[in-house]
Amino acid sequence: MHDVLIGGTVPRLIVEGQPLDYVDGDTVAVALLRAGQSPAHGGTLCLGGDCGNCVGRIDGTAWVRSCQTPARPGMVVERHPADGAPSMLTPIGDVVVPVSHEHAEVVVVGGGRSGSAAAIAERAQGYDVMVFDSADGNEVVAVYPGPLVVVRTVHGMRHVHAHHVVVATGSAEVHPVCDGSSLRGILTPKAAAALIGRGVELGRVISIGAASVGDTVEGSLVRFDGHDGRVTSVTVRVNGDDQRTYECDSVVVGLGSSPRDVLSRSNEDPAVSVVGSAAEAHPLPVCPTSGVVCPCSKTTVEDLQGVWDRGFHEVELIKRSALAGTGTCQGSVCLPHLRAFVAERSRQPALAFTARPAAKQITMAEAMAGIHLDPWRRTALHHEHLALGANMDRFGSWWRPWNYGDHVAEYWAVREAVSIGDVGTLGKMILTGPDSVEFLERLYPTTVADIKPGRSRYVLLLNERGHLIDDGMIVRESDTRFVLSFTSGGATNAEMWMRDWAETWNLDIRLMDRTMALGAINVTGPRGGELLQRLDVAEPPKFLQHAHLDVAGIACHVMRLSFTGEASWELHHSITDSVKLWRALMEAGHDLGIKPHGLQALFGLRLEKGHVIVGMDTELDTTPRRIDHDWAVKMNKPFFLGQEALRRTETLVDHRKLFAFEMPSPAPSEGAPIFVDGAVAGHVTTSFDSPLLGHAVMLGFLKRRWSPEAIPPTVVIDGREATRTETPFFDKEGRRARA
Amino acid sequence: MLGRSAFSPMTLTRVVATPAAIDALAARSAHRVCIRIAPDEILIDPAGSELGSIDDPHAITGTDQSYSVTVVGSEVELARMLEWEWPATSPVGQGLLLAVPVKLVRHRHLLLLFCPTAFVHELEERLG
Repeated sequence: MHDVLIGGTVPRLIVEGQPLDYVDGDTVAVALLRAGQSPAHGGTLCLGGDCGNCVGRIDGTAWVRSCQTPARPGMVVERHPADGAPSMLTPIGDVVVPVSHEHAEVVVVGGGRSGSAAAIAERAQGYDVMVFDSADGNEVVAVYPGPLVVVRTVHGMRHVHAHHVVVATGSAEVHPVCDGSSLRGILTPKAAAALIGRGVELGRVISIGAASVGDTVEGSLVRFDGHDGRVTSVTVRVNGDDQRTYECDSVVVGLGSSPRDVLSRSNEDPAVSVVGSAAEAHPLPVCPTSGVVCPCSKTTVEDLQGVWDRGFHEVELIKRSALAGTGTCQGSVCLPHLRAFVAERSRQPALAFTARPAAKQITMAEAMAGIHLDPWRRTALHHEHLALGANMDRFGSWWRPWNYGDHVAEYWAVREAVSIGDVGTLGKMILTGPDSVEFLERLYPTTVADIKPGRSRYVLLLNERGHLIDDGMIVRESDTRFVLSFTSGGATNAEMWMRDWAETWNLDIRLMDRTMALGAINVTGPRGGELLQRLDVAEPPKFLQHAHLDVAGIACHVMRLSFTGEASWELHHSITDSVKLWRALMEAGHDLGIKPHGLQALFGLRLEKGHVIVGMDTELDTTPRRIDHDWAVKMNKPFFLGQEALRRTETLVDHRKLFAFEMPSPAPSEGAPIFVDGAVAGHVTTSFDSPLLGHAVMLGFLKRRWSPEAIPPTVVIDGREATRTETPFFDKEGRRARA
Repeated sequence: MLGRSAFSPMTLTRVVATPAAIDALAARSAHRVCIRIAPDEILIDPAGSELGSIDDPHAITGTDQSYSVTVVGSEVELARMLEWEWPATSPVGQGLLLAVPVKLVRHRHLLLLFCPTAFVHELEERLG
């Protein structure tokens, strides 16, 4: 169908599937009007990029202003549906719009008279000034607080970070609002002048108001009439009630101007100022009495009256209830009329409503330009995990093995033999300084001074409100030197948290984050000690002890603790040795039945022991009491963070508490509601089908105020009965961890 | 895009000490790559025992192999990717590059881009 273009000398668009001649320099809208067509389905045309009456789908992208789009050979143009929104056909997955970040002291938006004057004035003060004007190919589509100026060009997006932004975008012409104002063939004076300047035939033209094209008539606008969607006559009122009607092909209506200030209305950043005509108080048009006020949202005067009658008397409220100003042009057309409407009824000046960036339609790809998702870290063992067939998943800002194909086999390796897990993701800090003990005493709710060098202790980290924000270990190396561990997701915040409090308390400490410098491998299982002995550790540390030892010739800080419920040693080492150490452990443990374990097995193992995971078994306002961790809080200490809050609340009846439950398999999903007497009473936080116990175990919050004796012994989860029990579910005496 | 070589793991020495001790250490290490992370913390190349004594009995010193480094060929291209302004007079810049945390160092005539090795795969992918 399009072969007519090949080798042709006349440039053509493809409009609704048909070739259409245009003249070099035409925009798409001008080309259509030149051919006697309309770019859309009606409404006054401004051809200045202010209204939404010329938007259509161009080269597959909907909502494009055809008046701002230079025509190019072969460009495919389709009108939006007369009713409803166009389908979003534009593929966004494979379109990448480049972005460049730039910095400027001053950005001036608009290269007209006031913009040029502003630029000269700013430069005279020695500022570095950038001026953007759509006529130069730099269309400013948004100004965000910051301020950040987003500029669209044919080469991509420019994100300009400015110290100050001057909006000098001039004024827009006011559109007529009356019966018939949605017909085709109505123009603003500037649009008419532009079309005439391009040699476009307008037919018989009637001009009203401040327009001076064709036959100018006196009087105030009453209505337009038309045929087949196009204007054929205009009626004006002269001398009181006397009305006159004029036959025409086009009507040019000059009703004055309004600030073109959508960019400044879209934020209240004090670093954004408005100058020139965009900042002036233009006279409002006569209050409309009928017709479409907002062509974008098809809001009529009757609609405005309806919301007014319902009590919405402010422009912001009327905007949100009648949707006027929420469409394509964000009020460029309707705002003056809406303000006139409100001002007449309230007898008060009506302010402009806000706009929302972007001020112009941008594609999803343009909106996404420069947007990146949060990055995820890999441990030094990432490729070892992949080589072992691990299914990787994201946890706590790290990629971690979820399982290696069979989490139950991994589980049994921990319970019956030996297993290794990559725990290099744990937060790891070194703390020294003359005030290190005092600092930790204040930071943690447990006692620290009595931890002997060579020993370690489990600790909770509370905020000022006594809410649990993390947990970990304190490992004491000397009188003043400690190693602190945190959860994988908590390390970064923990460092900032500690630095803030050290400054607040004016304590003399040194703190070094070793999280990404050190790897850590957890050797766990009843044969873990034997494995370490094979790798030259003659005497592995005992429970809650630690030592600096060589393991397979690699310098390690070996810490004995237990999260799995079995004897466990964390081997902290330089990340450059992680692969070598991992392989040495796997090789030496081959005949011991060693397997690596992923998080899926680990979560189940620790759940059998009743160990909570902060963030999974806790909420934002969880206190130690709610998870039965009062034992880790020493209220008789002189001070610790959160102590005052805990003291204030300890006598209150708590309405939330974490309980342990067990029920026949399968385990309910995490988050499953817990029912008591047919009503939701809480939810499951974590659950696991215990291979050892042969049934499901879980933790879950009950969120009602029960006296201790009234706490229900059974609940219903997933339509099945679950029995409340005590943790740990397994090895209640903790013999295996200490073995 | 940045006219850079591939990232290479780098061994540095990380020191935490009093600001005065770090000042003195930085002053006598001016010929080396130094990344002053904070008033009380610095990363120095090369690693090893060449640092001399640190005037702080509680200083923490550790070998740090958590960073990888590349030499950037075009500072102009780099600047276009940064959402923040790195003053031309500042020897060290710290912030996000394509949402990945990095450290930038002007060292003699070179522009060095340091990225935590744990994030290098993400940055490589985003740089294209």
